[in-house]
Amino acid sequence: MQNIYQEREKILKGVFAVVAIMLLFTCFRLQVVDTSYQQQHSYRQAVVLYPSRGAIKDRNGKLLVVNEAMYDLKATYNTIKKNDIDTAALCQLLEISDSTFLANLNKDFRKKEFSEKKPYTFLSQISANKFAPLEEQLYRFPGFESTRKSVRGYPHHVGAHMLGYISEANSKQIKKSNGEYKRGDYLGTSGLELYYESELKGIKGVEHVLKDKWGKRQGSYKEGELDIAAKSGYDLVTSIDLELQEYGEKLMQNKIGAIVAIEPSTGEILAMVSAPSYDPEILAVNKDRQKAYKGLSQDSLTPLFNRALMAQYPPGSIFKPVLSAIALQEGILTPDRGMACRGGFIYGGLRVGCHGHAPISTVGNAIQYSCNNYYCQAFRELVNIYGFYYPEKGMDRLADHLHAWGLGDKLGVDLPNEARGHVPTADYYNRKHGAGNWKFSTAVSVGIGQGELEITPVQMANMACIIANRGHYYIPHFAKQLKGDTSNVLQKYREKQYTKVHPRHFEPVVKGMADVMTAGTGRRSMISDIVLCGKTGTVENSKGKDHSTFIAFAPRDNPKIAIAVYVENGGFGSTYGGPISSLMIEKFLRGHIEGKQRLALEKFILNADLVNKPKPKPTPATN
Amino acid sequence: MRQRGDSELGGYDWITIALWAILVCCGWTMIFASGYLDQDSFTQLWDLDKNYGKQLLWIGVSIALIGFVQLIEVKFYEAFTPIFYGLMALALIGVLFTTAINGATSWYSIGSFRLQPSEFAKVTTALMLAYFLSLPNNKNLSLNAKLQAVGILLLPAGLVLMQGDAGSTLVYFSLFLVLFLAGMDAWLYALGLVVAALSIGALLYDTTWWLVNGVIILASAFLLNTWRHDMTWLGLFLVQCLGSYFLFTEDTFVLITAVNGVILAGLMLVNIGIKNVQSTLGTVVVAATSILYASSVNYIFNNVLRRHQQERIWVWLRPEKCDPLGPLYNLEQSKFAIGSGGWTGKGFLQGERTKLDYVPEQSTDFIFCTVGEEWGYLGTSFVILVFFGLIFRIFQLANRQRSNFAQFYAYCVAAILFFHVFINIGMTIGLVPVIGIPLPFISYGGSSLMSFSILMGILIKLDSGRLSTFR
Repeated sequence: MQNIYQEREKILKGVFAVVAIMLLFTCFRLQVVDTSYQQQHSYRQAVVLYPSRGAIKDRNGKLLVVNEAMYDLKATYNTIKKNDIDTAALCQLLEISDSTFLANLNKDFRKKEFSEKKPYTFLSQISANKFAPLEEQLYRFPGFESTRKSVRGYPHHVGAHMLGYISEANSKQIKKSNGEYKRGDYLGTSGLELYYESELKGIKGVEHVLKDKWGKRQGSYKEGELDIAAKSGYDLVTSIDLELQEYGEKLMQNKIGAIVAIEPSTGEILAMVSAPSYDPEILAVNKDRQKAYKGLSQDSLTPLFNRALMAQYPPGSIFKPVLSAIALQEGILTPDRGMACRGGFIYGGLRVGCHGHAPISTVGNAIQYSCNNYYCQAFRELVNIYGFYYPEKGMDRLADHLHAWGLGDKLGVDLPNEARGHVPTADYYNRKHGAGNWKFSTAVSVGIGQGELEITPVQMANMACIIANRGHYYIPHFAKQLKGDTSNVLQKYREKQYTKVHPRHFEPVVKGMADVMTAGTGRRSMISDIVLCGKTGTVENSKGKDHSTFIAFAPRDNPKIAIAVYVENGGFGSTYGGPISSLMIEKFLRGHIEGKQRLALEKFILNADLVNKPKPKPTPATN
Repeated sequence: MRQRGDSELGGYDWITIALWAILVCCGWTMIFASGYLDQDSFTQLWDLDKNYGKQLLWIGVSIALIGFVQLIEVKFYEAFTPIFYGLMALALIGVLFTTAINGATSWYSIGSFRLQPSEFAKVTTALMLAYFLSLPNNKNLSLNAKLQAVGILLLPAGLVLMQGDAGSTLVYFSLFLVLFLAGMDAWLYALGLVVAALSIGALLYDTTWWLVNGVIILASAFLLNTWRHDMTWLGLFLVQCLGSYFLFTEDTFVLITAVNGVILAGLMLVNIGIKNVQSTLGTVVVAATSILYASSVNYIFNNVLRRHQQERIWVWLRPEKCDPLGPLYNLEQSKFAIGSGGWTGKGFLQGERTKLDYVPEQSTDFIFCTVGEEWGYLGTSFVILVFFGLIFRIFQLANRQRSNFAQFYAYCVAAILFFHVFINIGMTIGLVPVIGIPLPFISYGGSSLMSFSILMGILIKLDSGRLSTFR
C-alpha cells in the first residue's frame, strides 16, 4: 500500500513539475522569444470594413435604390477620459449640446453591451456633408473614431412596398445570425431588401491596424497580410418598369387598392402598386424615421400594408373566364353552349340575380355580358360532376384546378409575407356545415367569384397571365438578374408552371374577353388600335360600396402585358378598374396616352378621389 | 495537552510562511500598480476608495484570522469538520436565493462588502475530505467509500455550479488529485485523460479524419503486438502514420482510411484465428467507441456548453477562427501586456497596457498581466517559481505529518493551490481557456484572500502540532 502511495505522489509531483515548466516556458516564449509582442507602443486592432450594399435597378437599368454615405462616430470612454479634449469644439462641429454630449458619452457600463475600453457608437447617422469638416479635425479628439456606412437613397420615390427598407439589426436578429450581424449593422427588414438580404448585403472585410496606446492609428499590421477586403453586395436588376410604376402610383392616388402588371411570357412583374402608398425616402435610415414609421403604422388606411400581395379579396366576375376555361376542359361547357337567362339563377329558394343582357349563345357571350346564371349553372355542373350526392369530390376537383392556377396558396413571389388567398375545398365545407350537410348550392356564389373565394391582386394578375399564355404561367417575380451571383436562386422563376387546362380551351375565353372590350361591359376602356382582352368585376361588399376590379391583357396575340386592378369601394368594374387597366396598358405599349377621349379618361381617373370624399356620381355601366 | 514546540515560534514552518508572505507582498504591490494612475489621483495607501487600500484592510483582517486560527486546538478542527462542512453547504444553498450580480448568485452582501461563500467552501471541503479519508475504516478504499469521497466533492461543486460560477466549480475537481493519492482507481484518470485528448483533438480541426485514422492505426499496432510479441508493430505503425500523412489530399483520404481499415480488419481476423478473441473484440470496441465519441464531440460542444463558454474554448484552441474584436480581444490584450514586458519589464508603475485598461479585470483575474508587464520575465518566472516552491514545500509538510488527517489536508491545500495557479496564469498566457478564478494571495478580493489565509493558517497550525500526534 505504502509503495503505491509513494509512487503516486511521485507521479503527481512529476505532473506539477511539468506544468511549472510549461508555464515558465510559455512566459519565456511570450516575453523573450516572440518580439512581436514587444512593439511597446502599439497594439493591433481589427477594424471592420463595411461592404456597399447592392443597388436596386429597374428593368432598363435605371436606379431605384442607391447607397448614400453616412457616418457613425464611435467613442472609447477610457481614452477620452484620459485625454484632455476640447469638448466645446467637438460639440460645435457636431452641432450638439453639452448635455447631449454627456448623455451620449456616459453609457451604463454595467451592462454587457458597453465597455469603458471598447469603442461604442457615440453619434450615428451623420450625413456626408456634415461629416466632412469633422473628419479633418478628428485627430484633435483622441478616443473618437469614425466608421463609414452606406444607407439607402431613393432617386425616384416610388415602389415603397416592393423595395422595402433597411434598419438596424435588433438583438434577436444579432443572436440568430451567429456572429454575422453586429450591433449597429443594417439589414433588410421588408420588401426586396429583406427577400434578397443575403445577396444584397455583401461580405464584411477586416483591416488589422496598429494603434498607439492612445488609440491613434500607426499603420497596418503585418503589412496588411491578414486584411480581408469587403465584398460588395450583388446589384439587383428588377423587372419593374420605372415609368409604368410611376404612372400606376399616380393613377391610384387618392384610391385604395392595388395594381399588378406582369409580362406573361416571363412572369416578370412590370409594376406593383398598393394604394395608399408612401415615399420610401421617409423610412430610409435617418433620425426622423421613427416618427414617420409611427405615423404610417397608425394611419387608418394602413399605407404600410402591401395590398397587392397581402390583401385577400373576393374576385367577383373576373373569376368567370377562369371558370369558363376549367368547365371547357371538364367538358361541362362547349364553346357554343348557349343558356337562357331568366334574370338570375333560381334554385329552390335560392336566387342569384343577373341583369338584363342580350341572349347568351356561346361561352364568349357569357363572358362578354358577365351572365351570373350561366356561371352558377356551370358551377353546379362542375361540383355535381360525380353526381348530385357527391359534391365533395366535385368540389375538390375544382379546387385542384384552381390550385394549379396558383390560387389558394402562395405563388412564391420574391417578397416576404405573401398572402395565400383562399380556395374553399370539400374539407372546408365539411368543417363549416358538417360532412354530408351541404350541396353545390351552399357554395354557388363561388361560381361568380363571391363567397368564400379570396384572391390576392398578384394572383389575379397571374390569372390574366395564364389566359394570355393560353394555359401556363411563370411564378411572378421581381428579380430579373443578380449581377455577379453564380448560384441559381432565380432558376425557379424560369420554369413553366402548367395548369390542368389544355391550350385549345382558351380560344373561346380569349374571344369573350376581347368582346368585353368591344361590345361588352368594358367598352368604356377600349383603345382604338390595340386589341385588348379584359374582364370587369363588381364585387359585392357587405360593408360598403362595391369593389371595382378588372383583369386584362394585350395585345390579344403574343401578349406583352397582363394586368389586374382592384379598387376598393370603386363601384362598377367598368368605372375605375377598366379605365386604370387600359391606361396602364396603353402607357406600357405606346409610351403615352393618345386621343382626346383617352386623355379625358386619364384626367377623370387622376382627379377621382375615393378617400377624402367618395364620389357619388359613377357613370352608368353594366356589370 | 500542549507539547513542546506548540507554544514556541519554532513550531511553525517558516519556509512556508516566508514563501506565502512573499506572494502576498507581490500581490499587494501589483494591485497598487494596477490601481495607481498618477501622482494627482494618489491620496494615501489606505484609501478605502481604492482597491489597494481595501486590499491592505483585507491583509490586516487575514493576519488576524490566521492568528485566530492558531489559537484553536488541533483536535478541534478534526472534530468539528463535519459540522463546518454542513454549515457551509447550508450557506451555499442560502446564497442561491440572493439577487444575482453579473449573472451569478455567488455573493452575500453585507453593507458595501460582498462575501463569496464558495471561496470559503474550499476550506471546509478540503477539511471534510481529509477527515473522511483519515477515518480508520477508509484505509483501504472500498467502492462505497470511494463513492462517498466523490460525493463530498460533488456536493459543493454542484451547489457552486447552480450559482452560475463555472470557474469555482472546476476548483473542486482539483481534489480528485488527492483522491488519486488516496488510492482511487488509476484507470479512471487514464480514461479522463483519453477523453480529454479525444475532445481536444476533435475540436482542433474541422475534420476528424486524421483522428479516426489515428485511432485505427493505434488499434492495428496493438493487435499486431498481441499477435507477434516483437517490434514489428512499431514498423507498421510508422509506415501507416507516415504514409497517411504524406499521401493525404482532399481526394485520397477516403482511400487512405479504407486501406487502414482493411489492415485493421486483417489483423483482427489473424488475432481471432489464434484465439485472441477477447482482446481483439476489446480493442475494436475501444477503437469504435473512441471514433464515435470523437465524431460526436462537436455536437456535445454545441449543445451542452453555453455560448460564451464555447467562445472561450475556441479562443483557446483555434484563435484564428475568432473575431479579434470580440472573444479574442481580452486574451490578445492580456498576451500583449505580458509580452510587452520583455526580459526585465517596464518597471514598477510603468505598465501602460494594464493601467490604460486594455487588459480586462486587471486587478483580479488578470493580475498576472501586471506582473508580466512591469517586471518582465524575471518577475513572471519568480512568481511561478515561488508558487511551485510553496506547493512542493506543502508536499514535504504532508510527508512529515503523523496524522492522516493533517497529511490529506496538506495534499488538498497543494491541489487547490496548484489548480488555481495553473489555470489563472495559464489563461493569461493562452495556455488554458479563460476560466474566471483568482490567483491565490495576489488577486484583489477579500473573500479569496481570506479563504486562502484560513486554508494556509489551518495547514501551518496542523503542521505545528504534528509532534503532539503519536503514530
